[in-house]
Amino acid sequence: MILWGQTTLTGWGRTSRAATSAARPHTLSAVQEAVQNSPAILAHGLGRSYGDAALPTEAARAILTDQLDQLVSFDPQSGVLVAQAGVSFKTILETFLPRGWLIPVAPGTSFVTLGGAIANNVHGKNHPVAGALSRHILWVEVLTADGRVCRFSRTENAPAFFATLGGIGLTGIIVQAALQLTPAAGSCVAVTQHRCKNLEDLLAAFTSKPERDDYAVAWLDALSGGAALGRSIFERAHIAPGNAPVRLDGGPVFPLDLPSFALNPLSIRLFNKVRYAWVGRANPTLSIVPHAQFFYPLDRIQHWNRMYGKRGFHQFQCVIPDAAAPQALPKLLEMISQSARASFLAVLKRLGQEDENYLSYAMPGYVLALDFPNSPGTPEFLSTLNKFTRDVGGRVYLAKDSTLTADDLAAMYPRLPDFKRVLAELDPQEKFTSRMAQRLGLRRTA
Amino acid sequence: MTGTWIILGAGSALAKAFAREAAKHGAHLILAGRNPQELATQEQDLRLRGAASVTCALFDAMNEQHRGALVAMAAQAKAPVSLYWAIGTMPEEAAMRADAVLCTQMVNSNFTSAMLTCNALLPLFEQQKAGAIVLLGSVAGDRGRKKNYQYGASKAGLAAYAQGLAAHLSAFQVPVLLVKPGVMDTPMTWGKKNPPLPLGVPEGLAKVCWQRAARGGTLYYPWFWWPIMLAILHLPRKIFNKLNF
Repeated sequence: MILWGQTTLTGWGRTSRAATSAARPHTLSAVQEAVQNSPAILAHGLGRSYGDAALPTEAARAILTDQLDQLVSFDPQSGVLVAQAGVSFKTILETFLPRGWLIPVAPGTSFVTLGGAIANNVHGKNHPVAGALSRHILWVEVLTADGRVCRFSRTENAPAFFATLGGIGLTGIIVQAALQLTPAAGSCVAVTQHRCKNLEDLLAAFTSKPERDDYAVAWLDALSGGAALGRSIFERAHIAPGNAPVRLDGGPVFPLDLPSFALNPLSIRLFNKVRYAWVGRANPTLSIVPHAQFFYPLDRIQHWNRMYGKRGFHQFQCVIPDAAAPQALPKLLEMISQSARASFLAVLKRLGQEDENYLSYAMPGYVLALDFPNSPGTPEFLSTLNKFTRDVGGRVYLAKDSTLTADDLAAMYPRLPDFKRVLAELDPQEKFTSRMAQRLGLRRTA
Repeated sequence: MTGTWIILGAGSALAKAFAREAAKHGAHLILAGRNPQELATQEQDLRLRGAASVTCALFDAMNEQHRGALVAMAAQAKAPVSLYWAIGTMPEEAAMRADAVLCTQMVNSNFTSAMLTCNALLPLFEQQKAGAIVLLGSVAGDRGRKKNYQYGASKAGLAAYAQGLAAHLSAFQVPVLLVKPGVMDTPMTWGKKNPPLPLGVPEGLAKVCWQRAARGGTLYYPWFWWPIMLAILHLPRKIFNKLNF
């Protein structure tokens, strides 16, 4: 018998919430039963997508997948790991990194489930080299609307495979997947940091990437404009030998919701100044740090999203294609700096070739990601940024999004019609649906 | 404290988390419970997480033969042998008042089973002078409350037994740890109305149990249940009896 509990789910940005009834099954048969008994349902993992991608609609229920967390098999010859969808990246790294195996793609947090990472087709700071997660997924097993568990891969129902990867959970409940791990030289990371005075400096840094530094990212002071526009700390890194203990425990818990005035232009300016100054006088600096310190710095503070207070925050993440970047990036940064809608973390990185999945976010270009406290006018401002991105031929990342429109989506994602066609075949009754799907016209409004 | 860990009640969420913690440290594991087929689904997962070996066994603590078999298995296992006991049920209080069988079953699984199993394994622990015992109690055993005093009584019994067992085994260098979890995030509490406090996480409890096993004693988890229970314990009776919790 399935136990349905009442719970309130939110995205990581906590701007939208869904009071829903949810099941938290331990076994595949329980998932099947829950899906069978629900007219509309959506899988929800660790709740790290920012907007409404993992929120069920009014009428729908949720399946919390965090208890489907068994490792199924691992082949030490090939490095192929089979795991249930609720297994977290944290578990995979803690278990396999000490044995010399790494997940080839690292999103900004290790508190994501394998299923959620697949559904959002996450990428990392090495996208130009490694692609998105989809490139390393050999197959997925999905519980589809007809109640069967189907295996999709590049050779078994490829359209369904490419619709499931990055398909924000709409093809069914991902229950299991095979992930190709990659050999790692060690559990340390060699990081080279240096300061960039302005955007020109920064873009030059990105183009001069040395051979073995697969990872590159810049932390941007999004408040500085004018001559200092694009002032940033640029980091490039590669996996280094050494066995620092792999600890992704999450340290202290952010204990309470900060009052909404705590993060204001002044305090954020101060933070950015200190951070910029912190990168030592030796410029550039090279340091060897434990794996988690480079890849998952925010995981050290659990519930850091409380920093933005009860009203929550939005994250805007777009990719600007290379051709448009030299003109568009300064314009975009200027818009943001002038808006003074203070943004704590602004991150710039690069994407490589488009991935195989239908809703591929990637294109060769620059990714800009920033947080915006959810104050009056913020959603409207984000719509302006969406429109700007759309007009220069870029894309907004669905895992972070909460403000795109159906028209934006159609303009940004050229293979959307293919995606919709596969969805219609797999799930004609529209059993799997989300608030995002509703907003973006991917499913009927119900 | 590697060697072998016998995990009793291995189907429960807390035991599962502890088994994973022990696996991470390379322990040999014996999972014992009433549904060995279900336990077998954990086998491969635990091996992949680092367990040196995993054995699943049919075990009903009230069955003398099963206890005998467990003792025999423990004698063969890689020393030192340690025990993590997490058998338990929490039926509705009203249902137990009306149903003597249900009530007896509850006491048997929450209390009698621990006593009989530990008694059976006692000669082994006395002999090996190593290993540890972890018993899963509850904050409910600290003071019998209106809402769950039958369940609480079984856990209070367990606490007294654990104290005596610890005293007995102190001469043999075997620590006994009684864990008192507050409200935990498990299937037992999922979807129920819980107090407005952060729920304890099974993985966190498992880690603390692993670290504390060698020291023994009593452990509240999460830590803030210790002052809460201290306050509840010292509430004047007149007030306490009026409270509906």
